[in-house]
Amino acid sequence: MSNAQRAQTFLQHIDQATERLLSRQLALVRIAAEQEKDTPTMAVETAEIEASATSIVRAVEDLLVVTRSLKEAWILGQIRQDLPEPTEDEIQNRKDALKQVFEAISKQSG
Amino acid sequence: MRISLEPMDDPEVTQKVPLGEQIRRITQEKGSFANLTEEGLAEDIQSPVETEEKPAEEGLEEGPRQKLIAAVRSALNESALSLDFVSLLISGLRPQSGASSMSPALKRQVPIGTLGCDTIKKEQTSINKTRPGAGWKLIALENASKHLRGSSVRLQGEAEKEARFWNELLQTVMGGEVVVKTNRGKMKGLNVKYGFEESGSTYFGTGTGKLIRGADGSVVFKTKSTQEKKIVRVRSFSGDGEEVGCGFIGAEAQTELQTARNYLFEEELFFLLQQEARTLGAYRVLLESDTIVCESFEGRLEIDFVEESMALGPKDQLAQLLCALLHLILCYYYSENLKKQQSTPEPLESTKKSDQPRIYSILRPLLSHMHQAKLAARAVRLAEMILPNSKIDSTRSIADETVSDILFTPPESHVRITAETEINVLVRSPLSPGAVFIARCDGFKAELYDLTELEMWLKGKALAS
Repeated sequence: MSNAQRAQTFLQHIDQATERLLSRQLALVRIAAEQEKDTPTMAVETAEIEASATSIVRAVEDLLVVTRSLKEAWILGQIRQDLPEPTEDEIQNRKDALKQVFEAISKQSG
Repeated sequence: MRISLEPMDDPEVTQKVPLGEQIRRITQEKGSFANLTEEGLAEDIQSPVETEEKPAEEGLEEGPRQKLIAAVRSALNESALSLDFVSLLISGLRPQSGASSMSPALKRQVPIGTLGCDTIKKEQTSINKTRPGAGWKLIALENASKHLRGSSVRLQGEAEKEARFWNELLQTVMGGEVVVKTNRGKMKGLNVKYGFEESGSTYFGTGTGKLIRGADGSVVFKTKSTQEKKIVRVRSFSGDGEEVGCGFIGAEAQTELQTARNYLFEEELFFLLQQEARTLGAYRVLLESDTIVCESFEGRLEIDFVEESMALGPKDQLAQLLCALLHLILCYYYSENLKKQQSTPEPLESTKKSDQPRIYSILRPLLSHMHQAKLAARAVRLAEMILPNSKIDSTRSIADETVSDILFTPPESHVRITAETEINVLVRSPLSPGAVFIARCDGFKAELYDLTELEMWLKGKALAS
């Protein structure tokens, strides 16, 4: 999948989730305000209220998934930087230390 | 309804009612004609009923009479229609009985049994009936609000954990770890490569661990549970077999990931040391039940692989240095391999590279230094014994152009013996090919392979002088 496609998918997900969030919230408020209805309609609306609540939660979870995959793509998708090359001084220090170690070892032979 | 026997004034009506019908009506009203007598008829004609009727009939005008007749006709018509309607309706259920009372006209127009009926109850809506519905709605709203509140708390916690996890992961990645995502298999999810695969390690350990989000959102590192917590330990023994001390490098680090890497490194190091030790039998390096034994200056050195908790005992500086050097040399190899892997690849060759695992020289440089130093010391002592009056000075040289030179170029010692003539002896490492001692005197050069040969040669020079 190319980067443009991925971006498109992400945007689509965000749009869908936001749309769902808003429309469900609207539905909740609308249903809550209406009173004069017959029993079967009320029963359906009762179910709709709970479904809307679940749907809102689901939409937020979807948004979380989007941020999660964005972070993942960002963190895992970057090119790793090489460790910095040691400077001349550092190399010299290492060489000196190594020499000292070898000298110490050979001195033991005395 | 009484029917008058008087002839109707309206000629249309009298003509219309047939004689048979008139007779039937008369028999219905007056009884059989057999009982009819003149007296009876005369009585009838003069009866007070008729006189009573008379004024009534007289009261009726021509118009109302007509109206009455029209009404009666219409009623007749209506009832016929009703009869037809009911008959047609019945014919839907019982065609026989329905058809019997249907008018021929209807039968012609409509097939029998084409009309049905059913009861329709009209529902009555009242305010009373909406009450339970309103209650449900309230309960549902309450449930929904509880659900939303609970979810918001949960999701907030989730978001915080998520943020923490990715922050830590970012730090891990920035720290130089290789984190990859696997979609299939047992290792599905985020994995970290803590092994030395990229550095050319061919050790069997996969060196791959999982990164899981912990309960509090922190990054939890999980590796195979069987990883041994063992480290490479160098022990030095004196000439009479007593343990002088030991040296090791602890593997415990700040993070679990680093600790796991350290243990893996120790494992690989010991594996490679064992591999190398098998090729060093000529230099008196033995492999005794997972312990590498080699000669040191005075006594011997033992390299083994033990549980970190078991690695106790007094620390010996020499053993410690040697152990550190072993680690350093392997690190050097790995860093060189890594550099090679990251550089532009070499052009393809037709000759195949061998699949044999490479044997690293890790012990070799150590042995080289140790043996060379020992031989140089002995050479000096020998010279002191054979040429007691001479001035002897020994200088040791280590190539120090690069780190690689220091590690892998065998050291050399120049022993200069100044008596009547100057004798120069170059003591090389016994591990490098060629003669060990190269002695020069008066422009002559002798290549000597062991101490006995050097002794003979020195004695010869002593005698000559």
